[in-house]
Amino acid sequence: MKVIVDELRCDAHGQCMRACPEVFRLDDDDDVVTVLVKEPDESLRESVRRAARVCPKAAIRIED
Amino acid sequence: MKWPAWEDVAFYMQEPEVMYASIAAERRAAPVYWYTPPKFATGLWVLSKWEHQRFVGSHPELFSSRYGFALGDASDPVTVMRQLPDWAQRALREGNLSPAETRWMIARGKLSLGDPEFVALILLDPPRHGHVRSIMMKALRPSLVRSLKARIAEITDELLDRIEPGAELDFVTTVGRIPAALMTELVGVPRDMRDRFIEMASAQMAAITIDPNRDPAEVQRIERLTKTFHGYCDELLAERRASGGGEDDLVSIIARSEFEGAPVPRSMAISFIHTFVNAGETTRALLSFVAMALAERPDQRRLLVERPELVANAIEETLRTHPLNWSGCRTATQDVEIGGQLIRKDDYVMMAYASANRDEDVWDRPDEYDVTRSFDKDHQSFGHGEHSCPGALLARTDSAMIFERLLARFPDWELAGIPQRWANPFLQGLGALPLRFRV
Repeated sequence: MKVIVDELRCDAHGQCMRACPEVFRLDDDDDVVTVLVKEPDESLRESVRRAARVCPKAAIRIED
Repeated sequence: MKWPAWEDVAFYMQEPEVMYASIAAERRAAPVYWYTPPKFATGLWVLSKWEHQRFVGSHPELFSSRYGFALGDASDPVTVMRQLPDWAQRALREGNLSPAETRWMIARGKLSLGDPEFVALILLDPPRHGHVRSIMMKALRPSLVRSLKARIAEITDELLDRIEPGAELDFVTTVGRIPAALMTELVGVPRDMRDRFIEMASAQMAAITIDPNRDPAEVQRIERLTKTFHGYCDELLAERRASGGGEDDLVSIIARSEFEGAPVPRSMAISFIHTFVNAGETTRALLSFVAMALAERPDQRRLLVERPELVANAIEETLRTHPLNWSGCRTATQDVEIGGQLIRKDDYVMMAYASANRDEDVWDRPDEYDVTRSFDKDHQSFGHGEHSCPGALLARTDSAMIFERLLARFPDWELAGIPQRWANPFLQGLGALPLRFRV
């Protein structure tokens, strides 16, 4: 599984970090989210999917 | 039970319980419903379910923003003609436009800012939309917004110092003014022009709403104010370009930005300023609804006084129960099935935010106002996807800050009169909210 963030769309709402802090990181002075692990372990699939679903900009994609 | 007349001002002026019962009846019986409003050129699909609206928002390639974004854009051209510039009127009169192209002409005409070549952000699709939006977003960077907290607190305290306990005041024109004041700073308006700027801005809200019943004198008044406003934006931009635009305000950022290798075009610059200004007004509406909801529900207000950490949640709950946009529209780019209905290419699709926010498949006790509600699933009040509200973070930040401080200073308030609602089939807001604050 590959995690792709459309940086042009990301508004740094930080919802993805709350859903899956293992993969998404956003500090107070960040304007775009950082993907900590580009190809996370299968065990994180559910929380990565939740992160993609809660993103207000629909900026997160998962590729297999 | 009568189903909603989505285009009709009178529908939104009913008692909220009656209106929401009607919306719920349609959602349960016909969640994807083909509706033809009277005086409209064509019908449109009403999407009432949260899940379906999220799908539309997540797929801008299937649902385009080009051919209209508001319900009124599908009006019969004859009824809205006089609110449009001459070139749009001519194109509509020649009459060989398809229904989708007709909406495009109406929407583009009303947002053209006097420039026939200009296309507003809200009518753009990816990838162009993202490129244009990113220029404006430089002035709304999350890091910049978060750094404003101290300034928001300062403006709020100055205003709260002037509130007299026990005296009647209009919330809309007092505390409600804070976001507009903050916006003038973010835009970069010099201090001595801020009051005048807010006055021009308040009249702007009307200009983005196409209303078949608008009085011609009112149309002229809006046109006049719009001209003055644009003239002032030109001056501001020229001055900032001359000085090099080194600051973090919107006009400075525009002055030093480029679009497609050239300076940001005038109409685009003005449209960004418009967006900021309108955001001051919609945030004013949001604050007013929070104040009203908490005046009507002392138990919820007391809970917030005891647990200020719930204030941010109360803002979300107010957004859910009082969406500022009643709805938003898209056009299908190809045949697509939603909820068992076949939506054809070029069909107009309306997302009824007021319905999705009370969808019983997503929310327990949807009609209840509960500041402890969990928001695992976001409401639709900021929209979802490519076009979701650019100012969401700012609106959340300033409204939470304002109510934290207000509740700490004045834990008790009550209605001192009847709140006056805007008569508008696209936007929801309050014209007046008489309150009495107590310490």
